[in-house]
Amino acid sequence: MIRKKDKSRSLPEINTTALPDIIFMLLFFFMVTTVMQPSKKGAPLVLPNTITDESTERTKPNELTIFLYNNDEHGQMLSIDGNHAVINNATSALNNAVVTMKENQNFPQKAILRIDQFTTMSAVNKIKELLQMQEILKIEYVHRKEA
Amino acid sequence: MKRRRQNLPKSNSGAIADVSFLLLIFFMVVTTFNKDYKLTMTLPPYTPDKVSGPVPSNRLVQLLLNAENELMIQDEPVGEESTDLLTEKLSKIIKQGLEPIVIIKMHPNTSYQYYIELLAEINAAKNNVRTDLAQENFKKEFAELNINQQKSIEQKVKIKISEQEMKL
Repeated sequence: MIRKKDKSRSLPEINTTALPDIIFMLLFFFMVTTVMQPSKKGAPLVLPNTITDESTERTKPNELTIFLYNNDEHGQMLSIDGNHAVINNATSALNNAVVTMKENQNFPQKAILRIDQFTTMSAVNKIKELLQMQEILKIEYVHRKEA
Repeated sequence: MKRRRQNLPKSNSGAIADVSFLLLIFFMVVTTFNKDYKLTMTLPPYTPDKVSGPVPSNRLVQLLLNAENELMIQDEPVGEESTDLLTEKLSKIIKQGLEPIVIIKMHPNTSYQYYIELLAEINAAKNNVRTDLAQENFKKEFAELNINQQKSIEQKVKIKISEQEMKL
């Protein structure tokens, strides 16, 4: 039961020079493997620039994010939840997305539109009309702020 | 020649970690991500045949956006000064106690960038009218007013936006 007092005994020295290497390796590993939210489902697009300064909030489950972008091969395309479709098939693409949301008990309240700056208004207006038909009347245009 | 074989002097590398963390934290703090901003809108309920009733001309502000991204306000082409002109037109209608109706007519090939800019300009014009009213009625900036005063001004400054695509 009597323990020897070993306070006086000094600890053996450990070589810590490799510690930063390990930590940096971990850091780089997580940096490389991390995927940010928009690019996961999104499409290559450049958002328009303008002056208003109300910043966006985190997307809620009852919000539907729609991407609209230009593709060299297929022309104007939209993407919802990682499913890409040509603008002419927008009706079915949006229908499917709304049905899946409703199956998950998320009734879409708002549409968040991330649209490329060079998209024509005919495509944008078409999406808006489809949203009206689905009774999603609140929309949000996402843009960047002019420098 | 013999000198090469000599061992290098040992250097204390314990501080490398400190330096690199310092750099790391510096860049983490300094880096800014591109932030997203939003313009919110409420669409009208869907109507299959889009026939609008007559719009009273004293409430009307008509904007025309063509395929070359040029803007016309009430049939006058405008350039840089569009926000001021819009503010003027809107405040004139609001001061008569009416709710302005802004009609945006656009070409199908108008690019989204210019549409968004136009929406932002309408917003800016709305803010200008609000500031003017706040100065006139309360002699203060809009942000300095109390909630009731702000509400009373918001009540007056309401704008209806109607959009139409030109048929080719």
